Amino acid sequence: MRHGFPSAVSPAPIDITSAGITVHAPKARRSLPQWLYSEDGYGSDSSDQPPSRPPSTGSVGSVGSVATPITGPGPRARFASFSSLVTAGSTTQPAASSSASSPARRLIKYAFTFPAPTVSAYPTLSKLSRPFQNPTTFTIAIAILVRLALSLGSHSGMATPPMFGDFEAQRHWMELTLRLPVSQWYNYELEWWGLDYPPLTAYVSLFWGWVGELVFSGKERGWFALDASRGNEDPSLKVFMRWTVVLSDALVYIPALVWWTSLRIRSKRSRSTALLVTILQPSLLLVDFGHFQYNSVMLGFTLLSLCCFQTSRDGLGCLFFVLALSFKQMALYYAPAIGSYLLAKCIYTRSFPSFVKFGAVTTMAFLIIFLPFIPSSLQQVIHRIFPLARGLFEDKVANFWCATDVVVKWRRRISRDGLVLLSTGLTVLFFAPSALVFLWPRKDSPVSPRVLPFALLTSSLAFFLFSFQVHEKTILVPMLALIAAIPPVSTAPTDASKFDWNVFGEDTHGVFILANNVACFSMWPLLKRDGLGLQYFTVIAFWNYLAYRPSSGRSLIGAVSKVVYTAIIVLHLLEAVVAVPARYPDLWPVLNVLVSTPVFAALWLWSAAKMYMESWAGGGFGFGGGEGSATTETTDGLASPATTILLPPMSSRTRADSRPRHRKTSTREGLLRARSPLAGFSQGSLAGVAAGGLGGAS
Amino acid sequence: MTSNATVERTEQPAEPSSATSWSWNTLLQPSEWDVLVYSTAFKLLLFPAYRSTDFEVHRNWLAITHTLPISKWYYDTTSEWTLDYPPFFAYFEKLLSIPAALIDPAIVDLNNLNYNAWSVIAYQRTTVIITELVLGAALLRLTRDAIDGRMQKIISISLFLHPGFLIVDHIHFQYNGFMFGILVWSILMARNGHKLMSGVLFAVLLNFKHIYMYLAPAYFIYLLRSYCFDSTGRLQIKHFLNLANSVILTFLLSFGPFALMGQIPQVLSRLFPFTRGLNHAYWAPNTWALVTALDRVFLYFAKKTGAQVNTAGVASTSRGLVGDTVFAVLPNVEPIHTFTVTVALQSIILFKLWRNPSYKSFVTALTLCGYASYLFGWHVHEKAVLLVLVPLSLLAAERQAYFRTYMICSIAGIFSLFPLLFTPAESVIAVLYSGLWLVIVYQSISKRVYELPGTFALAILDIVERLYLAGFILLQAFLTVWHLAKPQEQYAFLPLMLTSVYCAVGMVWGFVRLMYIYLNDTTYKGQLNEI
Repeated sequence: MRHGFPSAVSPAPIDITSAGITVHAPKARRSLPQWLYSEDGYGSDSSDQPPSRPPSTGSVGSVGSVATPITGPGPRARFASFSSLVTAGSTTQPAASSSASSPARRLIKYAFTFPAPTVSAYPTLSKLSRPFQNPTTFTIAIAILVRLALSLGSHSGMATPPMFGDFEAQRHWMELTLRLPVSQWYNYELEWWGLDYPPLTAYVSLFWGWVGELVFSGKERGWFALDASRGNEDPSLKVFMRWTVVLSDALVYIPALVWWTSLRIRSKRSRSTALLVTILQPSLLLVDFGHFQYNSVMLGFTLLSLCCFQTSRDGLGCLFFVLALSFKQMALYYAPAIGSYLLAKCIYTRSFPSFVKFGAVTTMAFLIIFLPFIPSSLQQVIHRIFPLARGLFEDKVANFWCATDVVVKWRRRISRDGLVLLSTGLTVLFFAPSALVFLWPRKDSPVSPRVLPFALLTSSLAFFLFSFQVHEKTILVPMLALIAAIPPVSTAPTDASKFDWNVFGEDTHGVFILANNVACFSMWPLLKRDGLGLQYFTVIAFWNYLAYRPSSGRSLIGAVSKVVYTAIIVLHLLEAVVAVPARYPDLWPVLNVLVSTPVFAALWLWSAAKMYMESWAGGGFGFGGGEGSATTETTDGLASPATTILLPPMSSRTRADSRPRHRKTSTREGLLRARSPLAGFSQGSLAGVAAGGLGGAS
Repeated sequence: MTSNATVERTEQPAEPSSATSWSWNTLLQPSEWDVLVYSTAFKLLLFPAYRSTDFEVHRNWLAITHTLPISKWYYDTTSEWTLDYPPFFAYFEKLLSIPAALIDPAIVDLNNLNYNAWSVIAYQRTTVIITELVLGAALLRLTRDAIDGRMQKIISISLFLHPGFLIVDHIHFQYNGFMFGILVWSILMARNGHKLMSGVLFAVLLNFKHIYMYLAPAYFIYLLRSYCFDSTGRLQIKHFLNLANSVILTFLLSFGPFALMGQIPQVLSRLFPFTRGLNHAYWAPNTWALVTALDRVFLYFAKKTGAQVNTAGVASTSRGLVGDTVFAVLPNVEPIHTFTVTVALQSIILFKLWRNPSYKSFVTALTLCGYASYLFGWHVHEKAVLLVLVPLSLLAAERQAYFRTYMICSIAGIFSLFPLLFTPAESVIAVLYSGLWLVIVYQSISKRVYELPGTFALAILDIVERLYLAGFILLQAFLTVWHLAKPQEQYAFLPLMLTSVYCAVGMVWGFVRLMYIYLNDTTYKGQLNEI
């Protein structure tokens, strides 16, 4: 029996006196240690007698306070319930029962005997946050502390000349952007960590470089001296660089997460739990604050754009997505989904102006960001960002190519150009569903932004599994989409004992945990090389303690999880115990890939299925969606007659509750309904989409 | 409250654990598991953090106790970090050295000075985390049979997660958590009326680390009065002999082997090296820090007016040198002076304790004894502030007056530990962690004990204290800017001096407050009065 954890449950002790309850407890004489009643401080010479006997029989002299044996729980006694009285009573049992042994032995035995826990669950982590007016502050503080503590560890390429690693790359880019004119950024001595991310990364590097030189006296320390600083391992440089990651994360990613969870989840308690679970997502922690990268900036911008789409600020959403794209090209993994979502929105609302608006915002933003490189070095920038000259994959990565490479030696059979074509073709084939879900002609049905997270997941997984030149770290891109897929929860948990961290809904939760764990596991070879073994196990262990809940016995995801976790544990144990056979130096990474890839493939399948279910639930039946309902909105906010039959009218209270929080646009109305308890219920019953809320709790 | 109560009542409390159905909850409550798991995870992440020389000190002791016969333990000088803790700690290190040798024999190689492989870091850090569970267990037991279990739980958690332990044990490196665990266990035994056990545990503690002698007077008087005498003042010979024999036995177990080998003088000379100065390199925020600072101020004016000053004192500006602090203007302080002041103050406290040997009075006196030694002792380390903060925490929820004292002392005391970590990465973690801890503790206890200041004078005092505490934010801001700006070398002492002096003001004021409360407070009945 696993404890009912942050359990809202917390059967905190009931204050009997204030609650006006009297507990009539038989045998309550045992319930209190009698020493509580020797008020004079003398005479409880318990070396002579079992401690549970009143001290008054001992040596108390003429001084008044002879402790009277108390027969019931006095007003001072505060216990949670009758059962806890019994439990508390047992605390003095061991010492009392051993009256046969010598006093000294009895004393020692008493001194080291442990009372059983009484029934109460005062502060759990979530309750520790109660003192804060706003639990979000607490969560953010915890998150930043964990990030800072992780930053103490080693980073990629630490003390490994000649080339060092990603840390050196990022430092080098600060040096590059600080010391050289823009025209040379993408040309300068490319063999030493040439810049291969889009310009926004370069600008951010420049900004942090400035901060380093101006505020942290990096100039005197020679952190960014041109060429001379290569491989600089000044400890204070490391601290500074780590702080830049933490700050970038705190400025972009954390606000995005806070906004997103507040959009999706209305119950305050569920929201803070969801925030805690997502903000400590282990794979991102390990890559950004262990290995050293700035992924959270790109992911944060993407999430911000999702927030904007969710709230119908589409123009702003476009801008954020452009920022994400021009920070790291991996945001392209999301592009099919987001692009077709916006396009479909224009088509279905027959709104040419919004098409122009999206186009203009996107083009202008790109233009401004790429302006310094136009026209002379634009081609070089593009060439650097899309390195088709590199191999199909470099390190072992848990995707289709690397996994099947065990059987089919792709690179020997097909030329590089052929591989590029093939991988592109397969990628398009597999991300197509995520575009078609929006673009497929339907009879005037709306495009729901609720489908977006699953579309992003499908599309990014397609890229991860099939595209050319994928790194193992790129799994973070699908993982963000999975975070975004928290089902909208609008109600506080009705059954408090059932509610735990299942803010992700019954089956979504299992998938979420499994996928995150496997994502971490798939990066194990990388993290091991970086010397982050301790951090790897610690972060995964405490995150699972926080978020993992065994899924109910017979579910598919439960069975799959069991198999995968067993495989992972066995592999870790084998790796620790067995030496690698000389013939297969890559044995462990290959086995790792063979375990992880099927999970990611299954995740793609799950995500695609979920995406279509979500879109049918949202659009096919004509309710719960976004734009469409705007056209047919009736007084009680329900879209179609079909829905009216299927659903009782929405209670006025729900609408009154939710209305003031939003601008009163028609899209919002649709959205509101999506997040209302009824929407969750209807999805659960109609389409089998467990979307949290009542669906999750019932 | 009512709505809360209804919600809580509808929930089924977990079944009382029976012997047949064992689960993790039989061992600890879910919330206790939470605290344990999260704090342990955080401490694990601190493994690669900065380590002070104490780390090498303890590694060297592992090597000494493992490779040398017991007769040479207190004679070895291979490393400059010779064994200078009492014998129980040496035995403890001997115990720890056995697994260490299995894990990596290089750890216990006597000549392998400053060994810093991952194996030794992970091993020693792990031993700190595991031995700290003694503290956890003591605090847990303190909670399990407390009168106000909820409040005691907050206090217990606040102690287990105390930033002092995080800074001194898990970053700087020492075994305070373990030893304070013994202390708390001993206090617990006193609370539960098992005074003999309490005395024995304290004797054991003394043989682990002799700094706990700061607290010994309170223990002595308390046990003598409440255990060896009955309430009419008659000596109870049996109790007295029991106690005396047990304590002597403890000391025999500890020092016996060395006494047999005739090494007692050598051991004592290691334990008490009387060759140090009044202040530690970084002034612990006590009275002498204030006096030294005052001397510096006088010196500044004396130089301006051209008055005669002690030239040795001018040279002895505290730039982090361990050695004598010589005053330029004020008369010099000798060890005997510090000793006299400490004993005088302690005797006031002990007199009161003799009159009123209740549990609450004992804990207050214990705190005050440690406090007096800390404020007026010779060559006090800043780390010794834990001797004040830990027992004081047990009183925190007694009422507003105690709580405010506790807040002032905790903030000043923890802040004074920050200079132990001069590396920026660890400092930021320590500051942020302490802030978080402070908010949680403050908010959890404050609403339970808050009282409006009764008189106008008290209201003024309240405001002044709040301003003082707010000053720490400014001080931290100043220190941050200072470290970033890096001004000239000649002012390098300024940040440390400012920290020390500002914290010293709070520490001294906290002592005055607690003394006043202890000597005057007889009417108020807090929850501890019920024991």
